[in-house]
Amino acid sequence: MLNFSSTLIDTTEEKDKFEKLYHLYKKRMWYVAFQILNDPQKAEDAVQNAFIGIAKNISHIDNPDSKAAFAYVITAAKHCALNISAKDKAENLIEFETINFLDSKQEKEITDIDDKMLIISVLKKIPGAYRDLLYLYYYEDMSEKEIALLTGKRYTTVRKQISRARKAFSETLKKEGDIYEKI
Amino acid sequence: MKKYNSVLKDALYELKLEELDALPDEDEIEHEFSNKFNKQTKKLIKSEKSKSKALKVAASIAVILIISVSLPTVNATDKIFDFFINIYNNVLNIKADYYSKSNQAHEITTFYFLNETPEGCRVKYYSTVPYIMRYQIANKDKSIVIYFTQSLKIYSGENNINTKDAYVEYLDINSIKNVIFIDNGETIYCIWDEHGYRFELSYTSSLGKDFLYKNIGKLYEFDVDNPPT
Repeated sequence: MLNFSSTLIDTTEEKDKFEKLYHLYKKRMWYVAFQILNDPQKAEDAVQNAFIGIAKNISHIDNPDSKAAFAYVITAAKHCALNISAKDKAENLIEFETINFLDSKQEKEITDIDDKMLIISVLKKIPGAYRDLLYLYYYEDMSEKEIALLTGKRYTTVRKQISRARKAFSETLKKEGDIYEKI
Repeated sequence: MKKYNSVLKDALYELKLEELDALPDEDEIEHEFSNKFNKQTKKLIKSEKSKSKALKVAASIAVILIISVSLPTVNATDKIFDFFINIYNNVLNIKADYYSKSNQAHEITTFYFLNETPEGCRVKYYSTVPYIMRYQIANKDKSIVIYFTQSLKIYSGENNINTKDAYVEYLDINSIKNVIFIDNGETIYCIWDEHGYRFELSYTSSLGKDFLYKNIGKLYEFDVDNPPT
């Protein structure tokens, strides 16, 4: 029977892309998830969830063989694993915290800085999960809604986590910048 | 506001490549995926392929579109409820009016389920993201399959429904007006507004219209932490 519900993937080209991603990266996606969950079955669940998220955002991938596509699917798998891990630890209460968005000045600090070494140094100091979200948001140019679909998180959670990631970046940058200036 | 600058972008990408380089090659990982995983993933790929195939086949079939004479015309852009409906090349295109309604809530806060499902049918699949909830319900031999979706009216998703050889009409069911009803002989598809949300139901035609009268306008609220099974 035809499923009349909204389709995840619309064209044959997208379906071929999806299938190629599956064959190229599924084991490495599992590996990344396993590093987080330390449970082979749960890691498979994470990969499964990641593929559902990828299917919903398949238009973001131009070439499945590219490094960017590899990065994209690995990031999705990692975050789906983190979701399962967070659920296991019942850490979802964090959802109810207030979101503090950056003001325009802080946002400008992030987008205006042009010293790559300094940025890399700052990015290495913030948590990996935050760095991933910044990667999807700034590098992949995805909206918060798209990131939510890809990673299987709630929209509000993604908004909050991106906000925290930017704040962590901004604060680390401030500290790092001071040290940098002194050097 | 500029979302990124190229230096930040480069730095993020460089670090991501470092992360990827640290991973083993695909063939170095010895994990064998479980049968359950292989089965589910194959199903995901297959179902997406078969949807595409069905649409292609449908596109090549001659056009017979029956629209009830008592209904408003839907062969031009027609705003019904809070979403747009077009029929062109015999494809009914339903698109949410996202932008003009962007001041509305962005999450489903109250979840609804069907009042009555056919005997022997069980929930096979359930998923929810902030703006859409999906259910698949079926009996054991899958002779009856039901898809039920609740979404925000502002959900920016888009549906393309083949209306070739299909009967299309608007119905008033129970207290609900303007239920869009499409029957292509195999599947019945309906879309309507209830409780401030948009609902879609598609199911095996053999269940007939009675199934709609048992459910539309009679949906019940459930606790998202304890969804129907």
